[in-house]
Amino acid sequence: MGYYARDDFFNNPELLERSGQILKGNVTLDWMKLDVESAKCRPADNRRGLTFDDLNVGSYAWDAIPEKIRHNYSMAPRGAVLPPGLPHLGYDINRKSEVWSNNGPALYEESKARHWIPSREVPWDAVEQVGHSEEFERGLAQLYTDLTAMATVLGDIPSKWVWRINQEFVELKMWQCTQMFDAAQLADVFRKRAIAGGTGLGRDHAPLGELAKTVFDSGTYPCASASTHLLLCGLMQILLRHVGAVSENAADETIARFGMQDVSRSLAYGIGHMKYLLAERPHETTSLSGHLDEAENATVGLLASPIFISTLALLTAGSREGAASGVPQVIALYRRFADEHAARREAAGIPSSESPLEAFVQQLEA
Amino acid sequence: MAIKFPSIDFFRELARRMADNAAEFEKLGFCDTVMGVKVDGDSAHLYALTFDVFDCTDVRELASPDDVELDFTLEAPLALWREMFESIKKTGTPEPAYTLNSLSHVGDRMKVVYDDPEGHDKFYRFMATLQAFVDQTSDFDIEWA
Amino acid sequence: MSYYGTNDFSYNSDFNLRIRDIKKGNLDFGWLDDARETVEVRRRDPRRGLTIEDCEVGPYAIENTPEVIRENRGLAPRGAILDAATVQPDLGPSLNKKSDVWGYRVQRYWEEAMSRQWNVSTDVPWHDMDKHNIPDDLEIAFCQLCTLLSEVEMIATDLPAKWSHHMNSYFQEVKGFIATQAIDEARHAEVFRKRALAGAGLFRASVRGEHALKGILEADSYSEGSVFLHVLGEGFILTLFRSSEFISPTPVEQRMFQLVMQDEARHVSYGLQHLKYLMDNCPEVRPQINGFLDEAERHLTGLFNPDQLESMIVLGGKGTKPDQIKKGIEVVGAFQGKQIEEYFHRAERAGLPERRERSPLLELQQRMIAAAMS
Repeated sequence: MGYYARDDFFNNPELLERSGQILKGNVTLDWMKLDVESAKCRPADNRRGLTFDDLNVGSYAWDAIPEKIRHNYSMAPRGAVLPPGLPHLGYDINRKSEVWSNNGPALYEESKARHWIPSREVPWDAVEQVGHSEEFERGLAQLYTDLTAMATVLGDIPSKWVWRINQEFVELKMWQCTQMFDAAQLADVFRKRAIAGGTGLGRDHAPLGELAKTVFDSGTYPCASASTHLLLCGLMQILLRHVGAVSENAADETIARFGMQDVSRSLAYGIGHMKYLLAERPHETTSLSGHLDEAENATVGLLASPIFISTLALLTAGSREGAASGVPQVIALYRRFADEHAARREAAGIPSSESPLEAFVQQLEA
Repeated sequence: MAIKFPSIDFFRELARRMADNAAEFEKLGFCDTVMGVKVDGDSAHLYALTFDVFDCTDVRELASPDDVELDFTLEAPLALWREMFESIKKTGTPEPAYTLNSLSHVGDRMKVVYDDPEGHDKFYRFMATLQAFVDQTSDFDIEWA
Repeated sequence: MSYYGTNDFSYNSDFNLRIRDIKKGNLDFGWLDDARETVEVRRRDPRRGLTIEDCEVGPYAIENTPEVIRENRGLAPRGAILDAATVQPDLGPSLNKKSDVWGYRVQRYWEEAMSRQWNVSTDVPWHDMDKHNIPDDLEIAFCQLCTLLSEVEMIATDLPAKWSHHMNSYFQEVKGFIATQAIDEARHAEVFRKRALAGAGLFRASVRGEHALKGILEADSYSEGSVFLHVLGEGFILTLFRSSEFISPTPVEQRMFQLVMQDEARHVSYGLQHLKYLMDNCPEVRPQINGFLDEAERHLTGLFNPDQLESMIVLGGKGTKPDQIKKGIEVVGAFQGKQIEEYFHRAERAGLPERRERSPLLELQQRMIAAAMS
């Protein structure tokens, strides 16, 4: 047991007396006399139902959350009456700009509304009889093996941070829970797809582990957010787009379509978070930019790694024999990724003049 | 056409409708349980309903609860079952006091009999499906035994 | 920055050579020739789709995985080929023993959870709220109850999150299942918050309840946290949800509780199966778990706080008049007895029958009854 409450309620005579009195019918109902704000929220649009946007009112609103939380370190819901004596639950992320994005509540709603079920919505019969060659299937299985590991770290990152975040940011915490869930579903569907194709999972390789560790071990949540949402999700998105384009299998097309939706929400959060953070604390640009450059360096290690690039070349060309002819297209894919990533950094307010990713792609193109 | 309660045909009709209303039940998710329904009266009847994925795949009357491994059994006198189905008939869903949970909770007018707590918890794990299943009786013309 | 990769590719001559090779189309396909076991995976039941149990074959099956995972310290999915030629970066998983996290049937709970997701915004008939006229005292009592429930539900997102990233990636089903728990519980906090804000607002938080939550969050191990959260805490909350459905003022609230109790029951089932797995495979931890539960059960009594008790009584009796309070006390007394009894039954099934003798809960209940009778 890590925590022993100061008060042993079991032996608290006052509590027992009060409970006994209540059970005798001597109720005080003092909580009924509390002066609380009645919100009477209703759905603005019945098709969307009652959303968090509908709840952004009065003292309950997220707009009313101060930048620094000083008044509540407990799990009491934001806007509730806080009695004296609430314990500290150990939250050490208590500044709104560290985590907040104004699109967070809407992304949470979107995630629920766009929930999908990999077990049933992927046409698995298409995997039971793939129409492509075994080596192409092996290439896909290798890429799905990599994507499984990426999805695993994509879930581990909110898991690492969410329980340390103050409850006042409850909509944001809920959004991170959807991220954990979406990532778990992606890890599940990628692994199932690799196994179901018959050739089995591919190889785990160090450059991917280096990228995952760089992102996972980010020292602060804002750094983790930048490298996870802008970079890792950007990479996953373009890989899924590529899978959807190169595989004619209906299952792969479905996985790609749903998967890119999920990771794209995280991209939107990442940009929104960075904008919100830097509007409040512009001096953090330097550390975030340095961190992203470092994470890009790890990404370069992956993009150039023998397993990763040969897998993409095989899938692009359609065969091992023709893989070399697929390299220019893979470089074009990397170019697109680098450009999109740079544009996201720009939009987020963290541009880089020394982007390792950009330098790498330029080397390839030279 | 009137349908008799309790009878095996009654539950088979519910199972048939469940298959017809596939979209509603698929949205509620997998439901995997073998549930007992016991109707106490002059002569007691016990039925086993097998739910598998989105369907009620088997309905049978049991001579003894040991004939099939039941996760849990809902037991109530005929009069209470009748009150419940008549409540459902009024608006398509039961009045608050006549949901499966309310009937089986405080007061235990309907008993939940079980051996294994996990079997017991399946009643709650699939509550929305089971409630929707019995709510399908709203347009039944029931002939009471 | 906490970790710097082993290579800075900006200044690396080997890397420049590799780029030259890539541009020439010199690709290494060694991985393509890896010997690996081919497997045939088919959906056993197309209605379920492809489940994780369908994929439990050969090297991918958990039953073919050793009790202690030593070889994987990164993010390799179970069954992937581990690269012996290079050192796998260590992401520091600290839960590497199957019995630390595993529960019987967890694969099924994972699939069930994915399939039974629902949406607070659209699956509760919010638009019907204005069709019902709830007396003020019942509305306030319901919102006081919602305040407590919104408060306690987020612990069940924070506790799984605290431990999930420490779990070895080979235990994907458990990581997945507790991710579903995180979203389920977020949804529960959401539904109670939304209901309160659709009505009379949020009322008073619970000091004693929060101490119980802190006890859960600060458990020393995942198994301790799980037994406190899943078996004890959520078991009690499941019965509370059942009672709350019973005393709900309108069908809108009843729908809420029907939906939340499904999720809660699934979490209780996992907790029960984890505890059972732990007792079956690691019986030496029994004294530790019992010692922990001795304190956890004391913590839990914090949830019986006066505000919650009174609001349930008002809802159970449907008002604040003396005869209504009397009826409400009967309702609440009955469900509290049920909470305790169901907990002992679960503990017994999981392999801890001694809780019934050892637990302080029955004595507490008797003391409260005695205080009420005096």
